[in-house]
Amino acid sequence: MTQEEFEHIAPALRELMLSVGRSFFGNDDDAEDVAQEGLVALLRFIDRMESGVRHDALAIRVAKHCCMDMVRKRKSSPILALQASKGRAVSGKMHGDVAPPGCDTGASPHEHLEAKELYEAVNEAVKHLKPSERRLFEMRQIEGLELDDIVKQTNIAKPSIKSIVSAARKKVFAEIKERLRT
Amino acid sequence: MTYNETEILIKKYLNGETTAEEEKLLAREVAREDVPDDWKVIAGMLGELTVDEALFDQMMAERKTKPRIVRLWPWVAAACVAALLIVFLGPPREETVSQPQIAKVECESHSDIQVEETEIKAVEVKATEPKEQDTGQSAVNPQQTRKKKHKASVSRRIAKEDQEAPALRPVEERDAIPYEDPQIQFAVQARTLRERGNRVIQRVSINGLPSNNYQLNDL
Repeated sequence: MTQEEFEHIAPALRELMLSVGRSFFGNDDDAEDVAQEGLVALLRFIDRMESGVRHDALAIRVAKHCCMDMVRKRKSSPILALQASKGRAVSGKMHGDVAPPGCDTGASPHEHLEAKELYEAVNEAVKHLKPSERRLFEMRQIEGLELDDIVKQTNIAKPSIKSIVSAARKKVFAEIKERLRT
Repeated sequence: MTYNETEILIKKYLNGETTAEEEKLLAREVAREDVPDDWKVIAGMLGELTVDEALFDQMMAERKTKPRIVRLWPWVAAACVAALLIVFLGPPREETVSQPQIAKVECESHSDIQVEETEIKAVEVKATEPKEQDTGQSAVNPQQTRKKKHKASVSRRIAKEDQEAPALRPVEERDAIPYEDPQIQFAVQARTLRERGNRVIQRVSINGLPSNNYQLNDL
């Protein structure tokens, strides 16, 4: 997807993210932060987003991730929590500085480092997959598409999709375990 | 979910047979603290989007089931303040006399006499004939003898007036004389009471009835 195409669909995706943020936080300020962070995260995925396809499900998942990210940051930083209560924006990134889920930002540095290593190991293992395996793996993991939706988009039979996805996951699992053991 | 159930779900996930809902359920389980290393790897594979989506849905579901505590005291306090403001800052009531009130009741019988009778009867004067007393005693208490004579004369007069006074009848509506102005009504009533009081005083002073102040009686 090009940037122009993304700018064309961005307003609709922003409204979706606003509604998710509003339903979670109950105020417009935090909802605006969610929408802003969500659009920034989606912009990073622009290369992987296909043109002509609705990305509503992805936008909602990204918005939910941003909500949880904001909650984790507020838990770890009382100052941020106080600022949030006063209605100020809380900035954050979807990747990079943000600890992966399953690891509380209030955890020890060792746990934080462990989580970061796992995160990088997963990314490396996914990069080593075949293009077809990687595409289907990401369609399931990142975009959250069901098998039926993947069949519609790829015109691949459901059993084939299942086997390809299975093979990809087992490869990634084995590679990550090997990487963490060493 | 139990440990075994989670393990079964992990195998199903690696076989590519899980649905989106099952993967969300698996994400909730493997994202907990103090889980085996394999579970942490699965959490990493599921990705932050899936795990956060599962946590998000869990939090939203918990909010819906959690009973909302509604504090009523701010509303009650606001209602009390509003009521007080209305009471103290509201416009004063205009007292309008929709109907003329009854000012006095004039009976055919003499009400003054009735009042005086009750006053006098409260004193409990008994009409007694002066008894023949020893010359010695009469000489000693001439004042007491005079008082007794006065009492007897008053009681005779009261008895005579009872006979002369017409029979009382109950007050009827036609006796009522309405007044238009409450101030005039009050003034008339006050004057009436004053006049009655003066008559009682005069009557008491004329008849020479003893007062309750025994020291003044000797003067």
